[in-house]
Amino acid sequence: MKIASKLAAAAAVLALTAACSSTDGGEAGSNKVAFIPKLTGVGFFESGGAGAVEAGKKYELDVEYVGSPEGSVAKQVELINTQVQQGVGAIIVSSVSPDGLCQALKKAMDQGVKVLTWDSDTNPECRSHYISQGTADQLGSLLVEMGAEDYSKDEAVKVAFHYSSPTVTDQNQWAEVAKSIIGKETKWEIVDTVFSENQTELAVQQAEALLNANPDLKIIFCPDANALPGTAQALENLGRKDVTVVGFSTPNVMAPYVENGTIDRFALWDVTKQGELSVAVAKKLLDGEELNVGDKFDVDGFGSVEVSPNSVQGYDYEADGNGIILMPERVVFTADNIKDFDF
Amino acid sequence: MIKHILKSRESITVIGALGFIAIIGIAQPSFVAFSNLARVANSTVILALLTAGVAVVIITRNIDVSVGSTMALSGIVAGLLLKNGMPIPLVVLLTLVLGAALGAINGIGVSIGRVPSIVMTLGTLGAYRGISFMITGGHSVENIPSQYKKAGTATLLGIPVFVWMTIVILVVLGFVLAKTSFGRKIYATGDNIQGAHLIGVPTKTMTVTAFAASGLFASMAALVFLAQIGSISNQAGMGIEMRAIAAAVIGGVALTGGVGTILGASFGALFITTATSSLSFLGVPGFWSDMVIGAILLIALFADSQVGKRMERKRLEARYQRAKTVPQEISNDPVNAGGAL
Repeated sequence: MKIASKLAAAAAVLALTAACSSTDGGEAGSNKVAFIPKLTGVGFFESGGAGAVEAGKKYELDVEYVGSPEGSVAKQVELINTQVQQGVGAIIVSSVSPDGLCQALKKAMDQGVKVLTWDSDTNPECRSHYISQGTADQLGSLLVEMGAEDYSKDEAVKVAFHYSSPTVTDQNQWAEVAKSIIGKETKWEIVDTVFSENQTELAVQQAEALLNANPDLKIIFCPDANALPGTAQALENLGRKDVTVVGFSTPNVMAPYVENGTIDRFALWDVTKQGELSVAVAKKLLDGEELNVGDKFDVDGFGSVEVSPNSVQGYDYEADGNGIILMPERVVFTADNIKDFDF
Repeated sequence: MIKHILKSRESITVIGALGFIAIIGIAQPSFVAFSNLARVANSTVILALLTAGVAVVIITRNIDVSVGSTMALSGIVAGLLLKNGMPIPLVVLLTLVLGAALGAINGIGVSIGRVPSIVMTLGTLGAYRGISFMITGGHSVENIPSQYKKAGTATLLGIPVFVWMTIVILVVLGFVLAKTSFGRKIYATGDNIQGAHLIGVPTKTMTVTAFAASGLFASMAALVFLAQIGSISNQAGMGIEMRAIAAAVIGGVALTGGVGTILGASFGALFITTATSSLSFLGVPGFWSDMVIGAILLIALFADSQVGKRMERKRLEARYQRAKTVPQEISNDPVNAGGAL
């Protein structure tokens, strides 16, 4: 009897919350925006979050940077569901998986929430717009060009890749493009690809093992903000000066390695500005604009920005109010300009 | 003497780890080049220190899953102090005290608070990482002073100084556990806590000390981390507690308490690090690494349990052998008749 009455009470409470959340979710014109990183506690994402929150003030949106220190699909789904229940107007997420978040994101869109991605995309049907740091073609060839500064493409040298994990969307795409360019346009030989799962000490140890296993290795490509400093530290630990290491990471992390000459150049985009641009696009969508492919609009601090088709990122899916917004530029950091950046 | 060495439980791990290195060396001779072996040893230091601390806790029949977070928190504090220009010896001292204190909190919760150790340390696993996050605001601590980082590359007789220091520290710890009355009390606490209490072992003190030791070793690992890696974020050491526990178990430290040695645990750590860093040499694609390492560990554990079972049977046989021969003389003596059983 007791149990039955408890169950009835629980059911009533559930029904009430369900009723509440459905009205919340349906509330049009919410100016709350959830800006979600892959994981918190990483300088790169914190800086993106700071840019987004700052831009929120400019566009009169209540932007909240929310995430979990653990970069997993389960955590991101939980976060998205919670945010939708709290009645956000838009979600901007850097996804840890191309399809893992889809169900949660589609449910959010059904409830009228604007869904955007930044930094790392989901499948295009699961969001409206992706604010991209550059296409895989742009970033993959940037990797190869940075390596080619030190070793001519006609030289038969050994090269290797080192990044976070074989399942990560963006880094895999860049590496694949870079590998295909290397295969077609150069005489370089790719000897190995190693992964360090976002663990700093593993990044150093894997890179040291890679260097010792291949003593004549000449270039290591590290399109990962953790693998790049790890590999640079490995060069320093082993006292190797004859290896070129290039990749993507943040200037504050890499500054000591550039200053002491362990590495000469690496690249990234201004992640603070990526956060800012994401919020600007969310504002447009919340104001009721659809932003179809080919639409151009002005964004303060970025000039004219255009919606590109999903095909620039290699997708087949195209739809109204769906596309990719590319960051206008990427930065190559060297000893000459690294002091001008702080993130 | 050799028979005695072979009989001890951890000899399987020692032989296994060395044999594993030899096998990789046959497949890829550059792996056993002196410089590469020194590198493997250097890469083992962090895990070996964490494993030693965890092993002490497991011997008391508890578990500590917070060592990764303890390492991150004490490393972040140490990194910030170093950057603020505090003298290195003082930073080292403060970090070790902090690590021991963080560990002691676990110990107090477990022994006096009577919280099961898995719950207590799961709590501090999250809490310590949370504090790290608040301190750093999510940004990693970079630009560790280079005079401190130099310690990470310093060598003695071609082997990194940290490796020598770790060997000395682990030998001392192994000696304390095996040969001193204090060490035996740690084993007694894990073997049979009520029994130990009855014969006058201060079991609560032993538990707190074991956890404090685990925290202390985690902070040593943090000091090595800072020198070898040169930066630390609050993500540092995430998941490493599982590798440390796996290393201890491979090294013959029983999760049921009271059994195991630091020697075995250290070779367990060496085994895991060797497995990870052998993949580049064996030409295993990175895509497969997690699976290959998992398989190697399972094979090691399986072999270990098989050998352990055989040794147990031999031990029992030897005992029965004694029972068959010796008691007949004794059974003539009615007073001692029961004693033979």
